[in-house]
Amino acid sequence: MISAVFGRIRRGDPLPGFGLSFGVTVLWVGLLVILPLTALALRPWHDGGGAMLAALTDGRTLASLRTTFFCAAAAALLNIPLGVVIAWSLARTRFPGCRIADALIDLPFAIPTAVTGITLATLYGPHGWLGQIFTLAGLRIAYTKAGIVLALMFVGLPFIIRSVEPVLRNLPGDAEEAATLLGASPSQIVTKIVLPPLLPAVVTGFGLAFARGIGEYGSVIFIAGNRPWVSEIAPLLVVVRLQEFDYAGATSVALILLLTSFLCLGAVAVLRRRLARMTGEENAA
Amino acid sequence: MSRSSSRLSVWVLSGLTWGIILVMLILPLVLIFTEALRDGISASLASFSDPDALQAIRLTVVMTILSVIINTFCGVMAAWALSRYRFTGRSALITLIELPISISPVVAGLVWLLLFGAQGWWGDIMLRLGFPVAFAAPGILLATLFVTFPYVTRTLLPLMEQQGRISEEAAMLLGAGFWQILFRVTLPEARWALLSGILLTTARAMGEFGAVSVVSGHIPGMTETMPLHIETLYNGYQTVAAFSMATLLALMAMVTVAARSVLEKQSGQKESSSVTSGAKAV
Amino acid sequence: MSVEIDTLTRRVPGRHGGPEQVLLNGVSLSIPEGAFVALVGPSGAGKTTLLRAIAGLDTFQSGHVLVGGRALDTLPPRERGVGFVFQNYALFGHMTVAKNISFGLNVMPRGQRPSAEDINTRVEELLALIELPALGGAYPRQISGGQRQRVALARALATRPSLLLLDEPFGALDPVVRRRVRAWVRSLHDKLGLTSLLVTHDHEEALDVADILVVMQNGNVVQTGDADTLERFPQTSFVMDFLGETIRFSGKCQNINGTMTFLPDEENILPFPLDVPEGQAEAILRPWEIRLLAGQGSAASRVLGHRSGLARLEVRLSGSESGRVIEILSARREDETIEGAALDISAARVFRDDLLLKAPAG
Repeated sequence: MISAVFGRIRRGDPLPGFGLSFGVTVLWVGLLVILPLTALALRPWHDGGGAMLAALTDGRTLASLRTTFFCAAAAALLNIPLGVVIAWSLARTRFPGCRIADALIDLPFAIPTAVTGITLATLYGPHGWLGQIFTLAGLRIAYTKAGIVLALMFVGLPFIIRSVEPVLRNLPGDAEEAATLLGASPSQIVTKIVLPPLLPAVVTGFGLAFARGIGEYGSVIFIAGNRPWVSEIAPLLVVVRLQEFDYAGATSVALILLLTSFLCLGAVAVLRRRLARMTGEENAA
Repeated sequence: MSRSSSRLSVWVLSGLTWGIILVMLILPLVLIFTEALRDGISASLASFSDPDALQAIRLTVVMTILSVIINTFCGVMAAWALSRYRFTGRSALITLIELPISISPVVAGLVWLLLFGAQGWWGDIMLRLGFPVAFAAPGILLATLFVTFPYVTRTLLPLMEQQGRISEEAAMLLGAGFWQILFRVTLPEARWALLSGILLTTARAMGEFGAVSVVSGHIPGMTETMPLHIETLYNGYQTVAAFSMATLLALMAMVTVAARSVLEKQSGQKESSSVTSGAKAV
Repeated sequence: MSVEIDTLTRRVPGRHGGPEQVLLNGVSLSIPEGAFVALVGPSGAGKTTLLRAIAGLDTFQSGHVLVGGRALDTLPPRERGVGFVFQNYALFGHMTVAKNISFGLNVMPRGQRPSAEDINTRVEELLALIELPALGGAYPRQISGGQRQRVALARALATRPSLLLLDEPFGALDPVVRRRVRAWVRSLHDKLGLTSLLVTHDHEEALDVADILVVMQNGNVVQTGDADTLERFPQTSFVMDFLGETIRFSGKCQNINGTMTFLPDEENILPFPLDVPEGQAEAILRPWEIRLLAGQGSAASRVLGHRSGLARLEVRLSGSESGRVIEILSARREDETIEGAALDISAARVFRDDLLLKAPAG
């Protein structure tokens, strides 16, 4: 029967291995992705819609969601100028050490989040190298929302850079030169020539960094202070609810996180396509 | 724009770039090493002889090896099926494979508790069978498998799509079977991408914190992996020990990043040379 | 090994939901053992599709392919005895030339696989055969296109196939190398007693190398035959066009004084007797088959240049400025500048509705 199903999917391709590779893939995806996500989608309704609504309208839950969304958005926004500057240098200039810089950019992708977490907490803590400087200025970073934003900036920076950089690289330099020759001022060049094609890339990078920021856990919890209602992020609340054996509460928050990040990535895909089409038409006109 | 002003802008730009990189990336890295070596190298090394630390390293290594084997094998199969054939449901499969990347690590751990936890669907059954999953090694493995799920397929698929199936057809007509084609032709031709995917899987598997933290139960000396043990040490104010272990993981991350940047260059060269060897002959 | 193809049909779903495309439309073909056959036709005619179907690379909806009298689909690839040379060679870039050549031997099941020494000997033999004895250790990217082409051939021949399939194998080579390599392929075919099937869009290449040409168009075989047959009796005007330059003259066939005669529509072209039913017709011939007859009309010619020992002449068909101008080739010096000539086109093949009506005898 299984071979009949496969047969219908793809009739008689002479290249061997379809049945096996397709079967393994479906089994793999089924057991490790579809099954657990189904459990996640079904669980909140287990105790009735009322329980879920109660879990979601709980003040502490709302506060943690607010903290998460606000900090993720702030970090992604603050990363845009930093990311664009670095991407510009990497794509357009051969500055000293650019190959090392290029490799360093990916470090936040590879460094374990727990390592990031304790490092940033120490660095920006009251006695840390940078923490002391901020304390002198009367600012507190660690154990506040500012700390959360900082941690999310660390993990989100590569997303902005790696989204923007290829676009800058592919942008023909002669367009800028031509504009200069035609008498455009530097600010006109930036707003009219460079920014329009860059915008979709920036939006993409922002969306990716934001989606990552919503779910981020390990790098944040050490520096956040985790005070309920103030600096408690939603992923942490999931863990807290689990420790209280409140599965319905944990799953409800988890589902919100999941849907937001899917929505965000979906929106990025749509927006990107639309912006690309718009700039394409502009170029054609 | 005059030459000198453009040179000035390059200097400003690269200064800014290095400034950002220094504060945001290098400073934290330096801090890891200095904190680890605060009481001297012997204190740092001594922290590894603690039995709980050793068990954490052992558990992490075992979990990583198992995850890499399973996800590499299945990931290669998926890349083969998705790149060599066109079939209904193909794009849905690709979406599903990409999905775990966009899921919060905490959620990636939670889903396994929903299945195998005390209140989960099959938690009781597994316990009664004497095979606990939650708060035990199998749960840690499942969580690690989930977070490292897409990497091999993600790095292989674009390259294999681009290479097309002509080499496989040639090998098939020369009499090679599926495994011979896979191991003698397809994977050697995509070896840089494969290696890169395996590296990513390894790095992520060793360093995963959130997902493992949720399913492991945090039992020191039993179900603590290296990142979890770092948390325990840090919260217990054993700073040197925490950062010593963090140094191990950071070094692993740096090696991964460096190796990948070398691999990328390699595969870039390979690609261009295979393009010239293919189409533009003479 | 002989190849029998019986009403082979392959359809694929249209792209972007378009109508279904018929790539092969009930193709039948019979290739005798030992023949060198060229599948020719414009791109999209179905040549490569047919070749891939014979190799077993593509499936088909209906019909049969018999290789050496056995149905192809019952045979695993290694028992088909088919060697295939791909358009861009498809050499394995990560293997040396020697490893490429021995691949087919190395993947044989343990029981049938020759010993390592035997494989080495065979590789040496093949390297000698393709005249690249020193290149066994080189990688494909280190050698030239012509050399790669020969390695691809050696790889296909390593398992001693009796049927060799070549898909546009010379397309990527420059003209000089191409001519040399194809002469060499032909000599190899004769020496090894192969049955070969070559796909090409280049009619000269096909005429040069093949015993039998199979002309394809829109998924159909239009005509099969040797070069001489196709030249003298092209079944359709497409075949005639495809095999070389043509000049067309429309006209009609009429009974004049008891003889059926082809009457051209244009002036200064001489009618000629033609035994076919009455009606519209088209006379088509090669530029060198037209003869100028001095003093019989008002067409004028002048020399444009010379090609292959023939004079290229521009002929103005009527005295007026608006008349059609054609280019012909002539070996006769006295044709070079003639005023007041008429054209003898009796060597033409005559078509009606694109199908051959009559070809000149002899």
